[in-house]
Amino acid sequence: MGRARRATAEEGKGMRMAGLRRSGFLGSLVLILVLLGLATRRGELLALAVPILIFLIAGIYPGPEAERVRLRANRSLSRELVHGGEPVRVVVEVTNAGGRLEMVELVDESPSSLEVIEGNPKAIASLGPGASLTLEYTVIGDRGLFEFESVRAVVGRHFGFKALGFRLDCPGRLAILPDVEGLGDIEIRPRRTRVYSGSVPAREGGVGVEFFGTRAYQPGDEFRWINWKATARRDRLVTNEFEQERVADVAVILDAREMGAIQVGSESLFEHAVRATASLAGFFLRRGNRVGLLIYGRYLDWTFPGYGREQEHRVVSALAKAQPGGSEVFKRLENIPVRLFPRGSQIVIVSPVLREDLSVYQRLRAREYQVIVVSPNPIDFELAHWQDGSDVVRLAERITRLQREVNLNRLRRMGVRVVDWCVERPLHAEVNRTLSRRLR
Amino acid sequence: MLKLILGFTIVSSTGLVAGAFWSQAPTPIGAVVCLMVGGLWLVNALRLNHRLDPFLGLLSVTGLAIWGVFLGLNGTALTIAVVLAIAAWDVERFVCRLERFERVEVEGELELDYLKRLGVVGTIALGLSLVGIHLELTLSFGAALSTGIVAAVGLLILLRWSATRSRL
Repeated sequence: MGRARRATAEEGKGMRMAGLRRSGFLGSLVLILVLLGLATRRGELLALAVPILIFLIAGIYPGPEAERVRLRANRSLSRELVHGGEPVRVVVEVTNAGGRLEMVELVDESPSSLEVIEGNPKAIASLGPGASLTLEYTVIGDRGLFEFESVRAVVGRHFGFKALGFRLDCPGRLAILPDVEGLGDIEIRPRRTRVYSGSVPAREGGVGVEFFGTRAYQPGDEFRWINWKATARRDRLVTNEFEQERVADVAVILDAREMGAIQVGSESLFEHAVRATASLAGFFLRRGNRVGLLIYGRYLDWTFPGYGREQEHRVVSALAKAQPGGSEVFKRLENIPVRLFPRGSQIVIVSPVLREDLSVYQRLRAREYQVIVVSPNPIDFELAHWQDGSDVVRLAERITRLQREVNLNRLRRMGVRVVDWCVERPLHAEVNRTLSRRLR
Repeated sequence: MLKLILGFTIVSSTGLVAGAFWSQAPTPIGAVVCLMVGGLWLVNALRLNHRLDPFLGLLSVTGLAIWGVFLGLNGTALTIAVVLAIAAWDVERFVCRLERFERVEVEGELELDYLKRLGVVGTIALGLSLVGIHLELTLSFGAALSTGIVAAVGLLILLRWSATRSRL
């Protein structure tokens, strides 16, 4: 339960100024009346000053005393992990553990990005000893990590100019996770796999589904695996071999550099990229693969590779707080720390693909990584929000589309599998069309 | 209930001053000004959501009362009017404070406690000021000067003490 602490000087300034202004105004009136009365020798003016002086003294004294204020706050959230647009109920209970407080103003300062859709985070009340007041309200918001810090309390008297400000610490944290879209099927075929069985062809013969090759019969092989045609040709027993399927290491990289984060009004291309990253990471984790996440932007945010639902939770939590940003060090993709990724593993990059990044992909391919690029199309995104159909715009569109096509084709020639994703369309449709084809 | 009391105190205070002007002054210009001040204050408090600072209402009534003193108007009426004006100013301040919050717990109880306190202070203030109106004191120049200096210094000390105690 959070305890009260005095408001900082800056926070208290507003309250203090209001009180001082009122008492200063009355004090000035009294002074003017007294001096005028004495100067003009009119007792009525002195008599007019008396009620103002009485009100002034009653307003100043007695005031609330900080030592006697004992307020405690306790916060609870209905859920701490939600997806965007889901409502969250915030309940803050403030208890008075001290003496009677005539007037208490309570304001729960929720993060500004959250919208209050129901209830009220503010209240004013009188609190007796041991009494409680509950603030209840519902918020919704977009993806992000939100910290609730404290409740602001202003304690005063009904009749008075003085008030004391406090901050009741009652922290809380809300993570609004990115939406995850179900993806149909993505075939990957990295050069190296891990030892556990999974769904990724391992380029090795053994137990599996897909035909891999033949070999000489060994005692213990199942009779139904015997390839009779090959046996007849070679005059010795030949067994079919199947390609083993194992799990693989998959590194998902989200390009969070500022230059690629296009914003048009309230829509952001980066949000689509985050959603795609979450969907891809979730897909590979559900197939049993070992997935790590790297967010490459203002700084490197690396989520160590892992398996299963816990890893999926770690990944979406990391994506919840991802924000685009700029940095001189990470301005170009060439500073991707490839040592984090096991050699020969699968890398999936979600990036708008800039021309200066192409050399990085070449380097990755040279290091035997299998690379998939899911590229949210910035041209389609911007044009979808533009009404201008002038010749200049059409010409600019044509040129940028051609440039982009050239870049993507260069990637394809390097052996990179590219998904050119128009974000207006569902991701699974584009992914299924491009990445579900069986690889050999 | 508070809005009713606010309206009553505004109307009463400006009405009293206007009445004092009307009954004794040769031209009714003072009364007209009082009624205009009262009307504007009332509209500001009840319709315009306190767009103008309530200080202005109290300042206007006090200024009119000072003018009335110089014109030799009824001192008792002016004193009562000033007390009612201060009460109106304070009630308006309290109403503004409550209106900043959509949710007010035990609103009736809060209002009642406040009005009780206001009633006590107002009664004491009115009583002392009416006593003061009827007191006659003869002060020499030196005594008057000293009283003025003491009053000024005392007020400054009082305000400074208040500022120190309210330091956050």
